[in-house]
Amino acid sequence: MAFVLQMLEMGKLKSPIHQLDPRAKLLWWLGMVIVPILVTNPFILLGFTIWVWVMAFIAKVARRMYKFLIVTYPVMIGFIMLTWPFFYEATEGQNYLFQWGILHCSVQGIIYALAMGMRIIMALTACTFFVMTTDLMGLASALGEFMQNKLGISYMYPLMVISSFKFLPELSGDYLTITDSFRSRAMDIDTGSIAQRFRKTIPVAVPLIDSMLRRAMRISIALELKAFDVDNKSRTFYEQYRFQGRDVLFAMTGLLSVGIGILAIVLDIAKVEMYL
Amino acid sequence: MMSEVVLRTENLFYKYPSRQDYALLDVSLEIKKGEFVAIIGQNGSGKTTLVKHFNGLLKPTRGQVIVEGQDTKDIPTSELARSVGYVFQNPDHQIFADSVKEEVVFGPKNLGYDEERIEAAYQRVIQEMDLEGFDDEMPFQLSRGQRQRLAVASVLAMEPTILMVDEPTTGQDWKESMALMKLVKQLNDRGHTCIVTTHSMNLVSLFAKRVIVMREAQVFMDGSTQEVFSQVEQIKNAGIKPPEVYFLARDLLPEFNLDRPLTPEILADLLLTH
Amino acid sequence: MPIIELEQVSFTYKEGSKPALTGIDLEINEGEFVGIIGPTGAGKTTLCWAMIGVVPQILRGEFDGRVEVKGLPSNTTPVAQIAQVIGLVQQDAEAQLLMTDIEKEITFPLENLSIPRHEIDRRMNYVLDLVKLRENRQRHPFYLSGGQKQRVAVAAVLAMEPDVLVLDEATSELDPVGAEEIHNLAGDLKQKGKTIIMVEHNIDELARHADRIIVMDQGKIMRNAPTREVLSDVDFLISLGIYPPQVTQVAYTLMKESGKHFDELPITLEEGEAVFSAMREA
Repeated sequence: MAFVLQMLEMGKLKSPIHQLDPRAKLLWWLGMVIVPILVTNPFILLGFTIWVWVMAFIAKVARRMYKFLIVTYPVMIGFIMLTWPFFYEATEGQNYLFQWGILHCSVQGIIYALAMGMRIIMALTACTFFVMTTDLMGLASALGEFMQNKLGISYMYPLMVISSFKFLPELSGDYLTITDSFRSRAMDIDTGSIAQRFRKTIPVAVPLIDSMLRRAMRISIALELKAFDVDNKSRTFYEQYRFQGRDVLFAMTGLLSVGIGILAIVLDIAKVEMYL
Repeated sequence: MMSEVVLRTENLFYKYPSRQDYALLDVSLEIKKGEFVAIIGQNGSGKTTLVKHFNGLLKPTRGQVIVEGQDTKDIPTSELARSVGYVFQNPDHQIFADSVKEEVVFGPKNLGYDEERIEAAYQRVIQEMDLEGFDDEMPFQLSRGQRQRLAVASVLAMEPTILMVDEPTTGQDWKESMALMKLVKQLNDRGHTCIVTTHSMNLVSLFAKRVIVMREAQVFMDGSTQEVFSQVEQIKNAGIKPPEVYFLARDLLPEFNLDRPLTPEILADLLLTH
Repeated sequence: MPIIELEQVSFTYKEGSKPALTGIDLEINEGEFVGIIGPTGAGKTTLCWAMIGVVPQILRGEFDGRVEVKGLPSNTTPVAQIAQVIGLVQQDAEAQLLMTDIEKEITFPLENLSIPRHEIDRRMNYVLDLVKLRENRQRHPFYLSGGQKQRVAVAAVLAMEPDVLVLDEATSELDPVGAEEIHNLAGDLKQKGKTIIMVEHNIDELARHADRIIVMDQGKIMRNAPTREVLSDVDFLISLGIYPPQVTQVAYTLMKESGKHFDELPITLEEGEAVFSAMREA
């Protein structure tokens, strides 16, 4: 829980990247998750990943990204390596490592798995970078303004997202209190078989849902008291975001990345198959 | 007659996983059988953290917590529920059952007590908590005060020797708070060791015999109610304001040593006779 | 003309078995500090909601009588509009704070009112100074103490510049330090001329600031009189399960049991010290 809050706080730090318009960063991010869809060549993906790390240094989030990813990278890679090689359909002339009936694994399979892993690594790195350098609430607000003023969509949806981030620690606190109270009555939800633990969630769910409903009621009254009107299309947005030159430039790098991906496809170097 | 120690902490240190500083720093104290203790202090002083160690919800980072002779590190919380009952601040955080009876017998059933014992305990606590006739009622239909008593009943049904009540006055008016504290006092008279955390100094003065003041993760003051509340200036440092009568006593009867907690009636009498 | 007027107001909640309010007649004038006390179920919160229109518009039920806020009828005027005249701060700080930092919390209602940016700036700085939370403006409420959270809630309400501030048991869930912060704030606002209605269980603090106290029980107004008059009637308060200030209880005991005479029963600690010292010297 503190982790989620820390992520939110990090978006408010100062650095050349942090100061960019969040919408520009969103566009960049979109580009960076499209690339691994288009490209499976692990070397190209590695290049992109390194580039993100370089930017992480510029944004002064490298150390924190490292702390997070040093745990997540191995988990991702481990998972991929334990599954993908067995699904890769090795073809004639490829080097089998072993073959037990339907279970088989080849060198090509391992290389393929590594490439798939690289796709995830790149996307993960880009996402982590994005979250750590963007004021997500500011982004929600900026998108809300765009949606309201240009598309006529009510601010209610971004508002729900923002409020969720506010209430997350409390919900988690309520859950802790409720499970503590059950522990104090000799029911420990952390022990027992899967079936036993599942049955235990039912008594816990009752007060949890009750507290959520009560809270929802109070929130709806609070919204009225704060003069929130779903239909008010002339609502002010306090935080001002204006696209400047450097924002356009940054968003362009996202577009450029996609362009490189497409170019790679055209040049026939985008796929990992070329190494198999 | 020396009463036995039922609860003891030895150099207790505790740090929450996500935080930098300690929530409890070198806390060593003893609570004897039959005591009525109030633990007070600002939010963040460590009082709730301390109390959660008593029934094993939290285990020490360093040091020991001994409950009825056993180290809490060696026993799961679910077992400690036999000895230590913890009534949470908000009854709605624990109530889940379809009927009052189901709610109350939940704890004893989890502890594996036999049918006879559970039934006997049920009848007894229902009577003690003034909830007769509600056996099949849905708990959510009861008033807030009744739900509070239901929560206490659910804990008492496990027959703990130590009873802890967290902030019994939240959401309650004076009459309801008094009623609840009187119930706790009755249990104390019957031999239960009672520990209460609260922000209401008036109630502390009326019921507790011993007061422990927590401040910045440490025990700041520890003594009889009248001893602690008489130190009006000192206790200010912990963000606590004793009941008005103690201020009056300090200014109008500076020499007088109290032998019991002060009430308006007692002060009126003292003002006349001293 | 009074700012808030209630005439023969009665209300029963839709799921309620008995009336929450019966025959309420009440006037609140500008600049007053009115305390409302009474046991649980007396209807204090329902009364606050009736003033602001939440009852009967959001919390439905049978509503009778007339409530007017600055001339606006509370049962038909949109709650969002009345909220600009009456600002309500409730017991549970958590359910009133909706945003991920203090600044956003204060700008949110102002954005909803379509107030221009520069005006939002001005009001925000003003209220942050008022509640003494200028640093920390970017913090998530999770990191704030209970007292601080309530101060943020008060700031967000005050930013809307309501005529009246209603604090409905705003200190009930706070520790003594937090409660004191809110009481001091209420006192400051009173000095600045704000109209304040405070529902409280802590009578000692009300004794300090309130001009007038309304005692409620079972949906009715039992007493509506100047503070001293209400708090001096010790028997009456105790019969309703309300704990009078200890100072007053001491004086009352002396009066009843020992025939001591006091022109006026003390209701604050300072008054008590003066009165009892004088008594002992005599």
